[in-house]
Amino acid sequence: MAIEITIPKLGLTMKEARLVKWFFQAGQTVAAEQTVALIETDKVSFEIVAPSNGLVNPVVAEGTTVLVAQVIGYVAADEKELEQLQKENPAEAGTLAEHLEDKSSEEKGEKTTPGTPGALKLKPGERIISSPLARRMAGEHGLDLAEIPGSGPGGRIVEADILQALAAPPKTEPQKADQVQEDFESNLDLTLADEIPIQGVRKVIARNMHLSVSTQAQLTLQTDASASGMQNFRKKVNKIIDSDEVKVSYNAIIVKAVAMALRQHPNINASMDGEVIKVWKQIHIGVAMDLGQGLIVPKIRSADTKSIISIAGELSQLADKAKNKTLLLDDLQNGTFTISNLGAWGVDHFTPIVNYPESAILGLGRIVEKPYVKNSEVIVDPRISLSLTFDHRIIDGAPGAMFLKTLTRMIEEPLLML
Amino acid sequence: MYKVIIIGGGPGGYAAAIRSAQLEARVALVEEDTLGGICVNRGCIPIKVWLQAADSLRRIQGAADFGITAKVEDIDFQTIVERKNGVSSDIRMGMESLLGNYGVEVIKGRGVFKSPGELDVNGIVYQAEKYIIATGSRLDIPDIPGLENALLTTDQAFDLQEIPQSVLIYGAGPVEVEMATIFCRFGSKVSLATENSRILIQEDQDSSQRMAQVLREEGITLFLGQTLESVEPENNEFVCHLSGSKDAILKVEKVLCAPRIPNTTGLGLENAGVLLDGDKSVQIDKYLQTSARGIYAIGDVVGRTMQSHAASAMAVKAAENVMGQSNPFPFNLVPRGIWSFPEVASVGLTEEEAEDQDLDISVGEFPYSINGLAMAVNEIKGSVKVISDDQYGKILGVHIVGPNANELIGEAVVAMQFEYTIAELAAGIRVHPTFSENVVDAARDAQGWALYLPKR
Repeated sequence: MAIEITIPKLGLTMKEARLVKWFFQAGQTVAAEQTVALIETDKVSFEIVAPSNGLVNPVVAEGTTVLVAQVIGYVAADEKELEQLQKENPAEAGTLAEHLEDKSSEEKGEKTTPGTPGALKLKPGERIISSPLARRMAGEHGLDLAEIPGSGPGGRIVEADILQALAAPPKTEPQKADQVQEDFESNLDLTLADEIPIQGVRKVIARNMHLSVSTQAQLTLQTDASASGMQNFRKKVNKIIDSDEVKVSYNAIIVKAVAMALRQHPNINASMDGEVIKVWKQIHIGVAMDLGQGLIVPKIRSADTKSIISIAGELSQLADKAKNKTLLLDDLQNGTFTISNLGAWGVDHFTPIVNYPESAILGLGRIVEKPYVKNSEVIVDPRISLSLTFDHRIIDGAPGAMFLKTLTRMIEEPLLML
Repeated sequence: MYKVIIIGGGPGGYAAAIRSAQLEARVALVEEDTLGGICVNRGCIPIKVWLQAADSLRRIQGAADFGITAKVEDIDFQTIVERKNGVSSDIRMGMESLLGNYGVEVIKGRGVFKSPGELDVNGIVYQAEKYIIATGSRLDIPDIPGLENALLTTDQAFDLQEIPQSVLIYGAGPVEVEMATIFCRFGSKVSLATENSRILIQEDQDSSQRMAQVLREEGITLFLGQTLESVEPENNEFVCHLSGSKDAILKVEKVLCAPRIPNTTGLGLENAGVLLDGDKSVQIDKYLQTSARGIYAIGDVVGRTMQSHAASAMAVKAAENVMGQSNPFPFNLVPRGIWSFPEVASVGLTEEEAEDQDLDISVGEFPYSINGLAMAVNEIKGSVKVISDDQYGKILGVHIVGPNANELIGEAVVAMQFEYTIAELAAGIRVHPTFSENVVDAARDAQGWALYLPKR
């Protein structure tokens, strides 16, 4: 019996992925657990491994968008079975043709002729679901289905969507400023400047943020700490490390401080699940990053057991992966606490939103020198602001404040982390 | 406090209760009579049992064409009535147990709105966030002098122990045509009179004409454009006076009437702010919400297609909308079915309606008389008609007269729901020989390339 190679569900919100690459050609021998294919979702790249030893038989072409649980190929036990498979499951002509068509039109850099049903400009891997009638109507009117939002099941474009697109006024060239001014004064209706579809990463962020604030009772505590201890510590460490090692960042120090503070306050390292509070053994700290592709939160695993130097190295690797879009699912899932640092943008205090289903998040502001009264004397002290948001359903104000206090002390005196 | 109270336990209310419960609502269903409504007790289901009896008779009578000579010794109507009661009762029991299974509370009594949020049942006031009105329809017998003495209604017809020797059926809608074919099959002398110029006025003209032709061939006398003025007793019969293009007088044993009107009185709808249309039906929007926010209405009570499947289909959308979704109801996809011999079924626009909309259309037609299966089984009366729009090939309507029309129309509903163009329908593959081939062939005819019709 041939064994199916299917698309795994890599997250709650995952519905589809792009099949990026096959590492084996039809008929090549593969060993169980060897990587056979690479897929990519809006968030991560994922390597699919062979479910058994045998001969690979891909049935879905590279560049195709595939659904969760879809069979993309098979592993045959022997030549005979492979032959049988290839007879029963030839590579999908439709998807292959679509893929090639996309490629050729993109290479030529031209739009396919409007008016021919089916000949629509698609990005590689993108499939537009539409009814036959909608395609015919779009063809007649030279509409690009890629630009029409679908209201049918699964975003299918139906007749009503085409009628709506036809009824909508054509997009006009931007008007000159004085003209716009005039119109605004005479007409109180709002004018649409741009309409951005909520999809991909944006959709995931929107859903998670809404889930977070709609299910949790969030409360933010704010304080500030002296950053001088941390600054001195960082200088010392960066002086003594090898030149090929990554320099220690403030984020790395704070990840470690948070992890050690969580060890002392295990009830913060928890999630609410139905009728129970689940306190986690591991401390996995997520660090929010935005590298132009939307918010992602890669994790430092078991940060409490790692040295600051290795945390710094991992953070730098994760940032590189995020930039190159090569983060794997393992880098992103199952965090227990998140840090969000807006210091680089000159922010002091803010109210971060908990990264659901975690129950607390630390917001970091900039480090800025301020006058500070110490021993009845005004001194100039570098201060860093800390904003701790947590879920009051499971963490009360006092334990939250105690955790913040422990953390503040560790930031002010990094030796306390030992 | 309930999430939703549903008033009426017919096919609409029943489906709405289950769908709401599936979406985790706390649901109560108010029913003053027996569960199942007209459909289970005095409509769809009883008539199917009678039709099966009539069809068995029809097949025995037609068996001679296949070399089988058989004689019908007796027809025991009591057996038909008992079987009918048994089936209705089984269905009601199934409904009761399924409602229980879904945790729907069934409240016995008549629901009357006190205010938009309060419903009185037997003096107890119940409250719900939302309501679904599914009170159905009732007979609306015209006020004709002398009619009441001769009257037979569909509320009584399915309990008959003998078939009247002669009957005038006044009205020519779906129910009347069904009753005409049943009575006729059991040997009654049937006359069918209507004020309209044709029978089945809501159907495509071709379906009307085709069906009128079949009825005449069966021996039914049609009086078109005639009004029943009065009914007078004479010996054991009644003399019926019809007026119209030419007056007519006929003697019959019974007069059957079956017009229906939405059940909208005595429900306190005025207290709830639910507005009615001129024909006493509840006004609704495309989400099936009435003029009162949070109160929905489904089924016969909203007029339009007064058929069970329309009610249960609306029920699903209404329940989903009650639970916070916003799903418009596709009125254009509700098929119409008539269980006559042969069956009549349709969905979408008639040819006249399409022309009234100034649409350029193509019409395809394929008769049963050249369908292989129809010829083999000697059921050659009927035709499939497909109407499509010329601009995009949109399927506008499908009209079927013929065996299995009510099953076949499902093909058209699917095609229209998924927005096939005529080209997709014409490209379909069906098992040979089946009646379903007619649908594909009619679509091909609309495109001008029906393979098995003479070159045009």
